[in-house]
Amino acid sequence: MKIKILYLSLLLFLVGCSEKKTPIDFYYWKANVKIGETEIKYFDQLNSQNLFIRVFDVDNEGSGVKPKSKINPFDATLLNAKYTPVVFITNRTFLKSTEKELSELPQHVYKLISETMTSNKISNFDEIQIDCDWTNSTREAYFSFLKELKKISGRKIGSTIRLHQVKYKEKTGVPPIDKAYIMCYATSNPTDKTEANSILDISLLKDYLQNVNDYPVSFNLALPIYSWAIVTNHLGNIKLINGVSRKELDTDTFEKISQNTYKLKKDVFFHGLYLNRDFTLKIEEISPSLLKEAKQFFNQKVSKDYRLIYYHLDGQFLSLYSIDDLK
Amino acid sequence: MKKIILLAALLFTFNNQAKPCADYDPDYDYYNLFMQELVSDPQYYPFLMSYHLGYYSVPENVIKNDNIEQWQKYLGISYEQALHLVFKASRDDVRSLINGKSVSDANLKFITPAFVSKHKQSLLYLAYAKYLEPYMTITHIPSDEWSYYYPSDKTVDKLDYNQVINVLTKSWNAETDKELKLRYGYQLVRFAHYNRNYGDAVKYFDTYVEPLNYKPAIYYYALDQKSGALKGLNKVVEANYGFFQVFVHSPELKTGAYSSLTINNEIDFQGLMRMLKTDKERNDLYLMLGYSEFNNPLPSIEKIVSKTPDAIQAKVLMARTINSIERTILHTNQSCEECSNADKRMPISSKSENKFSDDALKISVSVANNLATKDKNFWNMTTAYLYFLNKDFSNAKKYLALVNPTTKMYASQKKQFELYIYISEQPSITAEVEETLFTKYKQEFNSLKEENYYYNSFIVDLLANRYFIQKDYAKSFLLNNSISALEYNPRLDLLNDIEAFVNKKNKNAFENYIANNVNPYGERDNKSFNIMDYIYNMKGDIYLSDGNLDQALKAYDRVSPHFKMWAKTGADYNGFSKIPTSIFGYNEIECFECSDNMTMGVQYLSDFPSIGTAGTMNKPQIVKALLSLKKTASGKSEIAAKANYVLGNFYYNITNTGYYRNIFRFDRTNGNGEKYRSGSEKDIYNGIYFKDYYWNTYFKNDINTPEAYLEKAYEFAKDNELRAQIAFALSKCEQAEYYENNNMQSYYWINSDQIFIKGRKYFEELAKYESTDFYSKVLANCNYFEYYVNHYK
Repeated sequence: MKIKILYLSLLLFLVGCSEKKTPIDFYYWKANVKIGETEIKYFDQLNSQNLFIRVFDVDNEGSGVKPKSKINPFDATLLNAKYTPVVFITNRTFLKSTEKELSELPQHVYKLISETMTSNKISNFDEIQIDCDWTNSTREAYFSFLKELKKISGRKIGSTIRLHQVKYKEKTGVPPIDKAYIMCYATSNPTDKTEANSILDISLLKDYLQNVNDYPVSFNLALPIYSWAIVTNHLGNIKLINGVSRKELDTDTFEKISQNTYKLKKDVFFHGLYLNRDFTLKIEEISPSLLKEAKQFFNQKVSKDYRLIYYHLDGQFLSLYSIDDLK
Repeated sequence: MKKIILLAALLFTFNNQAKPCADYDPDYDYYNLFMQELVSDPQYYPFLMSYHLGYYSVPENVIKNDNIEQWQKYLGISYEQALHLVFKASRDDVRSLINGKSVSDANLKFITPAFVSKHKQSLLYLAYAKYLEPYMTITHIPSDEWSYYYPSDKTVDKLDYNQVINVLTKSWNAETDKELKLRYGYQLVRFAHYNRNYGDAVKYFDTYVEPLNYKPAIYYYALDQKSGALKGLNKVVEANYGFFQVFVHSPELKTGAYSSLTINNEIDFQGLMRMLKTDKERNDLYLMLGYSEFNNPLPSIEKIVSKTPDAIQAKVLMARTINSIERTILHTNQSCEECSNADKRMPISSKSENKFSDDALKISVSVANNLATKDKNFWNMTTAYLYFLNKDFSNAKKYLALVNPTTKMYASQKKQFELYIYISEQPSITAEVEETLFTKYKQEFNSLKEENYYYNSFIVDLLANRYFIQKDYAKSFLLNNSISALEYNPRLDLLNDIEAFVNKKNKNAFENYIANNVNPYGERDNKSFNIMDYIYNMKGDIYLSDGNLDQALKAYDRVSPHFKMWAKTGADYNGFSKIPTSIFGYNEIECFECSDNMTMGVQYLSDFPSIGTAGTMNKPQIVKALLSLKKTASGKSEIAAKANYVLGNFYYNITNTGYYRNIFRFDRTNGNGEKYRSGSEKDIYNGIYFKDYYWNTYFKNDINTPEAYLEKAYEFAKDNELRAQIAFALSKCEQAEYYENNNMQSYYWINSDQIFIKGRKYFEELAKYESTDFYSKVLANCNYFEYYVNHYK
């Protein structure tokens, strides 16, 4: 009897302590799809099911609404994934376009998504995700676009949600969608010349997601796993170089001038770019511990079920983490 | 049908750079004073600096097509004839001519039977090339259409590969002329490359092109195709070397070859460098390193000039350097955030900009002074200009004097720089300077309006800047603006300066030139326009808005009663007269687009004879009525209460939210705009000139004045109908204050959550007069009041 009780309590203890496993998915954002061994390994070993794949952008540069940077043909069978198309739409699309263009937009977007998916042999997708950093002046047009897209496509509609749109949802509005994808990255502008990490500022994240449980639409959370160096040239102009790690800068070619900033001692080729002496590079990366802290915060904070989506599935970033780091 | 080059589609690595998201052209927001074309070699013009386009845009015909030139020479015809025959004539016409038939294309008349018999083989080649040409595209995704499929029935895969290769090799073997053999060889390489048979393409080049040992323009076209194929085979160093040869030798393919080169690591770079044989080739490679707009071009210039100070590549990079300095220093609208305590004299640069500009100057001086430099004109010019940008005018003059104006471009550039330096070095712009400007440089000023806008407006801005600094505000203002700009931010001090300047006796020629700019837009060429009417009308408005009625009346009395701000005639307000007397009334409904009959309620006006019965008044009449009303309003009787109410209405109606807000703000209608949004007053003397003055829209939104009159009216009014009306008027002031205090800038398009309802004091007051007719009227017309009554009463 005693043993039985002991077993029971042990069992209860184990159940009570076990961490809920959050399912992991990925974004894919390149126009030229390259799925290699690393991508396949991480995707499989993390038991990922969904790939949210950017298929094109929509913009209006002044000569009408047009699709931009369409994804090139790719082999969808390389990953055992359910594909969800993502379309990025600029704000000026909604600001600059005529009423007629905007009324035709949902039809055009759906047609191009369908053609892209069919052409790449992805027969069924039940959701479309739209990425747009809407503002007060584009909200109305964006929300009606979403409604119309749902009507035309008959699919579920998701939308990315910026952190401020969670905290100030009363002001910014909540889009008419089936699923929200809360972007927990790009917390500030990389062109701001500060020491802060523009990719993810954890204190800002915690502040903006204080009341995330009140968000009225079911949501998933997206975390960054990219890093870059912000290069500043002789005129103070900047350029981003993806996938730079700190250890590449701790060499004789660079002089460390502050915690995260390095100065070039000579003209060099670096990540395919030619850079000149005296240019500075500021490194911004998401360390495994920062990632862990963000995930722990979600664990404690979020009371509903959610999926975690990493931005994005790219070997050059993945290899900076172990599989465990990303679990 | 769009045609794309295979190289670009297959091999060009797409560089995903962030683009500035604003819709503006970066090539137009700075003064481009330095003519980059001074480098004098059109082949390199595409590599001059342009932020907007991929390559610097070169006018047509500046660079001749080298393939056409080769045909021209070979067939002994003119360039235009060769161009038409090769690029424009139809295949059918060429075949008809071969077969001795006539064609209707008049541009082919030069092809006589004698020509045909002499050049039959060439025409046969051209006919076959024209057959292949439409198919020289590949299947791809159309870039900006709402489709994922390329709708073309003519792509390279639609042709039978073996059949075409067979025809081409047979033709090559049968042909005895080296020129035509080379062209068939080119077709073979291109066709295999477009079919992505890279190995074949390389093989055909080595078999049918290279052994001819003949390298006119078309040889490099073939080499370009072979290099693309090598890249397809991942032979990067060899491909780069091929593209590099194309870059060096082909003016037509230079930009394409540059785009196809991929030098992105030290190994590729050194590999290529080792293969180069001449200084020209090495200089081209250094040019490529310094060409990217993100890179510092100076290290490349130093490497080039150390051995070859006259090299074109160094000039191209220096032209680019100067252009990027112009972009950082010579903004077309210069704010002066960094120079508030520093030198406000243009050209203005910051410390970091100075470093780059100093480095550039050092190099420029050293090449200009280098005894080995043969052509010093370019370097003397760049040195003079860089000294000018650094405000070292004496050295700028010294080097400019050394420039020998050998060409029209050099002469014109020299003269322009001379003028900039002359103006810039003056401690102040005196009458003597003005006279010199209008004698020695009159030509420049005469062409100000017609010619190169940017160059000319730099002179205008430079002078405006100097006048501004020496406090000649009227001249400074009028150089950059017409007086109409004051309609967005009227200022008495500027008006007084302008009045004094316009009335100045014995103006010199240059002052007259500036004064000619004074009339408002639309009246520029109207010689009978009386500018004093305009000035005093504006002064009157300023005084009235400031509550200074006596001065307002004095100002208006100097305006002709027939003065009109707008040419339009009829019953409408014309800028001075025909102001409806309902300006003393109140809004029955809120609607800016509606007519005043529909919007405005008028009551109690007949109690005041000064308002009159004509239905409209002019501005002096308005002021007289206001003075008279003020007198009556000073008492405590019912009539005083009414006078206060009418005054309150008037002053409310001319605030940001009043129906007559346009009357004293120089607008014909009351439609929403910048003039009716609250802002803060700017210090107009803080900048470096008054350029684009109308961007600083500012009108004081005075809600206190109407509120004070209305409160007094409410205090003394006894009649409940009147009290209800006053309470409603006061509640509108409360809402206006709410907007003001909450920074609701564009409150013309308001959301209901921006309305102050709960706790609105004068809704509560109005609610006390439930028995009045006015109460029922408001309840019917005003949803917010209705909401208040239903929820909070």
